Amino acid sequence: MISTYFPRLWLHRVSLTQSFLVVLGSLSAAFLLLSLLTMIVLVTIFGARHFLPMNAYQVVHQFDTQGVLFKQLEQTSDGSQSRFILSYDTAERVQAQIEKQSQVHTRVTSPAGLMVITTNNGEQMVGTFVSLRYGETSSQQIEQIKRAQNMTQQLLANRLDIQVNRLVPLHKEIHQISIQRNEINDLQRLEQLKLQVNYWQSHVDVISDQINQYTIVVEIDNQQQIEIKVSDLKYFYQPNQLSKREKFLHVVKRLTEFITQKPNQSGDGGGVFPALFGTFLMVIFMAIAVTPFGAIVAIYLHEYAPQNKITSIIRVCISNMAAVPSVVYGVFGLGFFVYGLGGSIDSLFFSDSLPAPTFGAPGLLWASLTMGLLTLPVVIVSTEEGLSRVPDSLRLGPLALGATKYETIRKVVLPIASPGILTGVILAIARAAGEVAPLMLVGAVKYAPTLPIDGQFPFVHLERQFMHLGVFIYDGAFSYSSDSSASSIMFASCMLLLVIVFLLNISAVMLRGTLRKRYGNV
Amino acid sequence: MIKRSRVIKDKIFSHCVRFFGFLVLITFATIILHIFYNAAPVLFTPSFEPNLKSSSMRANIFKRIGNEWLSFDVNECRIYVSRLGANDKKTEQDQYVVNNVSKHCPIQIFDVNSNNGHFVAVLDDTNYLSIFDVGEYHKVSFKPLLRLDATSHDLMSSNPKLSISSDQQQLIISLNSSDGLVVESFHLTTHQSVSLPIATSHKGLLPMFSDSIFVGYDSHTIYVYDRSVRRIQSIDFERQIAFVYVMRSGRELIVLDESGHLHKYSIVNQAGQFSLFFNYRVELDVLLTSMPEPLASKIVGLHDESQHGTLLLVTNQGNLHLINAVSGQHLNSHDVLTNAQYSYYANNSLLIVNNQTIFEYIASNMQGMLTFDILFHKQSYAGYTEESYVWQSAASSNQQIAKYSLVPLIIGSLKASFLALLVAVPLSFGSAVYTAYFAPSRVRNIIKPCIEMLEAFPSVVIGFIAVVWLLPMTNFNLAAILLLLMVSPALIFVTAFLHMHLHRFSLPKSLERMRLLIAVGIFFLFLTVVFQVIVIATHAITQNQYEVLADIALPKTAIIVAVALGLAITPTIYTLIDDALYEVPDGVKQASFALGANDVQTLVHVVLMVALPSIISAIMLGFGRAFGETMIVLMITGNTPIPEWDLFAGLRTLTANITIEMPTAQLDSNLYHVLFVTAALLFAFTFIINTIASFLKRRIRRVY
Repeated sequence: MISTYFPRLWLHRVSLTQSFLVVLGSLSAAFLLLSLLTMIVLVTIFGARHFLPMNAYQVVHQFDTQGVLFKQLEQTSDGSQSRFILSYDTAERVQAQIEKQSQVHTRVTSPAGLMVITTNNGEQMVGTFVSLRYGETSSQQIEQIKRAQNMTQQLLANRLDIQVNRLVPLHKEIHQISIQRNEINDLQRLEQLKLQVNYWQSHVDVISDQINQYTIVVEIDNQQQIEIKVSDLKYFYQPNQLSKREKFLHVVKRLTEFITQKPNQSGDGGGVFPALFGTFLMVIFMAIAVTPFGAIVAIYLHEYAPQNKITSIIRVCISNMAAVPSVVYGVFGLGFFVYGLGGSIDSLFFSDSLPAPTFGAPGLLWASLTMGLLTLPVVIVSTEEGLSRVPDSLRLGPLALGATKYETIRKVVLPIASPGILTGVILAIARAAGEVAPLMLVGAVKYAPTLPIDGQFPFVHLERQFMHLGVFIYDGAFSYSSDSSASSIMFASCMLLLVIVFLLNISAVMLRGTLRKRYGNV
Repeated sequence: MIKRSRVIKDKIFSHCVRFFGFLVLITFATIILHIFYNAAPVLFTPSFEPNLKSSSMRANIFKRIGNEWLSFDVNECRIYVSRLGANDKKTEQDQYVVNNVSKHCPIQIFDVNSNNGHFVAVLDDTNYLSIFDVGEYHKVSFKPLLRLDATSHDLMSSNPKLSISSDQQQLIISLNSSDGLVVESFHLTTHQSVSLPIATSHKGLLPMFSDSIFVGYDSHTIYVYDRSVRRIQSIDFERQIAFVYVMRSGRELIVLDESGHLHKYSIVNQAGQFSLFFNYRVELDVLLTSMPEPLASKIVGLHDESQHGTLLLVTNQGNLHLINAVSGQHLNSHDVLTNAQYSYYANNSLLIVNNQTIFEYIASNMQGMLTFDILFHKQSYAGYTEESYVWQSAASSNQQIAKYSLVPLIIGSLKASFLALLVAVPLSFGSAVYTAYFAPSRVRNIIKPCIEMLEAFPSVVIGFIAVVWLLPMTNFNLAAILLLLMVSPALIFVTAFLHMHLHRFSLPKSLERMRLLIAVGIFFLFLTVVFQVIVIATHAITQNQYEVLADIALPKTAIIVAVALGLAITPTIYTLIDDALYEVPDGVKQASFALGANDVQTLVHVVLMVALPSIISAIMLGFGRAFGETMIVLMITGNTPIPEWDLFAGLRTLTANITIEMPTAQLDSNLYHVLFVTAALLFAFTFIINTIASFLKRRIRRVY
């Protein structure tokens, strides 16, 4: 009796516990995967928005007759107030949101002619185009703006040409003469020069006048009309009537702007080029420093080191270096590299510019070296793994043929293990690209006025502070406002950083995979 | 025969490689040494080293102007300004004779106490008092700031004490005349003089707290007066008061009594009512070496400096005592000039004068003022009514002592790590048990790399998402999320039940392997539905969700720290636990099965037991990782150093503190060294964690 009944009960009971454990385990795994997915999707969606054109809407608030509810808003005579907004949402959603927030009746429309204008100083406006003016003449045709822009471009080029090729040499000569004037001849020449300057200057004035006469009139919020100089226009588009192709071009334009431009003062437009460039330079210098060091140490540990106390101490050191919090490296970098090494370099070679520090202040070089130390264990461990995958027979072969150990390592072992080194460097670069805390102590700043490489001698300025993508994002999180355009450039930077880091990591994993495939799991 | 050059190359290479191997050792040693070397000054004992000696100049008023000590004296109707050599070791007496400042003949010079500026008062033969700002003595335009009619007082014989208020509005003159203490207040702009109505039995009156409080004292009592000289407090002492000193901050009062006790009081503002609050009392036995002489006559001077928080006590027996002004610890004493008459202190330089010589002493190792007590114990800070741990590196004014208690930061770090572990340990343990034990290897090969991808996520991105998206989201749906957390155990149970029953039914082939996926899918479906219902319900009930949020807004930062930091450290813990469980030898498992244990029994009693040390070491490493994580806590928390264990209170971690304070710390300042101490703590902490973890791992390797 029991033997037939018991197993069912037994199975039943265990199955619930087991189910419980399995469900719990799989749920936590699912939660982790979901949060990973959420983060990636979030960054991608919000980041991608930075490049997509938004739709423009006209919002008309209908006030009750007293206008009690919203006294602070300016009203027009008919009891309504209008403004223009940009949004990724549809008109209905925008309307619902606004009514939910302000509890006032609104009407949201998206007229086709709405225009988005970005000026050269980073201002963004939405409104309807009224007219293009040139002096007294005016035109209602929107296509004319392009022509006017071309005209102003030409005029600007002309003006620049005069300024650079005519006025600058003249001014230089005047300056020269005024420094060493001693003869009558010179005085006459001076008079002559001044006449010429006046002549060209009047040309410039005329051109400037012409440029300034090209303006467009735009109607913005509350039927306000404003005039914008055509020369101030950065770009303009009519988002509600973009064709597929134009939309694509817009995305491309925004992408190139994002990659190649400086960040705007207002922080909502522009690009991240200096941050990208700074990150790139920093990791390059870091890789130059850390690759040979890490690789040779790994060769020592794997090929040369005897099995003794010292070797195990070195291994303990490396594993501890990997575990030290990154900010401690920042503190070390600041104290040792910046104040210690940099301070002594300053007192040895740049003593005339002291007390203003040259190398004794946080900068690119020190940041690279600090990150080099931080990522050293990564390179060592990865290279050693690469070396350990080289079969011993491949080492013994050359040795048997009479090659020295050096030759064996250089000609046989290293070429085979090189994907391991590369993996290590790539992982190190990925780590350095995403690290922020130590960099903030040793040289990365939220805004650097100059790039570390420019046309000034000696072209590469290792002592300069630089911008870093991670620091840029960190700073963006604090200046974040609910303004969607301001947040989206930060999300776009996040996306860029994630893409870089993931690409690096995936390529490292793939490299490691090829090595494993080639020589099996040793 | 091998070519010689090849052998040489080989030799060179092997030496080179060896050198680099040791270079790692050197690098690591450099990191440790540098961090600990910069943290070490905290351990040194502060001291004063003799620097300059000079034969006495008759003068007894010294002022530190710029980088040098100047003495001031009047003789034969002239003011003499002499310089105590500062740059070269030999004393150089540059004498400036200033005699064009007054038409009248100066006959005596008095020191004027002031917080800012260098003032002296000169009495001339017409009995007028001229106040000079001697910082400008070398200028042609050196003239008295003002002249006051002092004819009504006998300044010559009554040893007056003069002080100028910090807003430079009034001059307070305390005179010990034959009928006791008389205090006059001169208004510097209106030139009006008022006699302050205090008891003549007082021995002195000292202005405190930007002159909104006066402290008077007689032989056994301290009296506190407010601005209009109404008495608001009196403090009695058992023994006679020997010395009373107001510290430069103007908020702290030091009282020495004849029994050799040093008392410190500070001004506390309680609901607009100022009062003196007792901070501490320390016994200075060292002062009582020769009993018959009263202490009052032994003390030459008491000085304080706010940069390091030091009290310097100079006695006429030639002793200099260094006392920590915050904790009251007696840290060091020196033998200095005996029979000292006057002592002056400014900018790390102490001047002691007797009738033959002048000695200058220079402070060294002043970082040693940051004792263990200051860093780790509760202190009674000025302005606080109870002993507390405070981190406040930027004092509100120059004269206040910065507060460097590391306890709030350590508590903050522990709190943040604990919160993170609360989320990370169950998640990673659960996932690891699933992937390493239950799941088929096909599933494991998908899930594991995905979770490990989380490790590659830059922490700044996690922090950014948490701040920009998670925080507002949680803020908006806090009630719903909390309710959901309560409901989810029931949901999990239901799902488990469902999963079990799914196994009973015979499913179509295509769905057979998807049972778990179906169960999990249904769970998340439930979850979303429940969440939406709760959200709608709470919003409908409360109408305006922000009102409710005001009441329960507290734990949101804690939740977000837990989730964000937890997610950041989960991959570390997960990978290690997963590997540990996976590496449990098959033989052990099979032995268990052979004995009749089922899956769950084998897991609980065999696999987990075998892997336990590795699991513990994984959790420890995760703890270390959370402890050292900077960006996420820096971005999410409010960075308020609160010394409370309450998980929902604000926090500032050691790491975030370094990132915040280090850019503003000047080289070799106290803050700089304290931050190195915190870096050393972080270093030591991770070192210990790492060592224990690797020890545990090695143990399990040895056993299996």
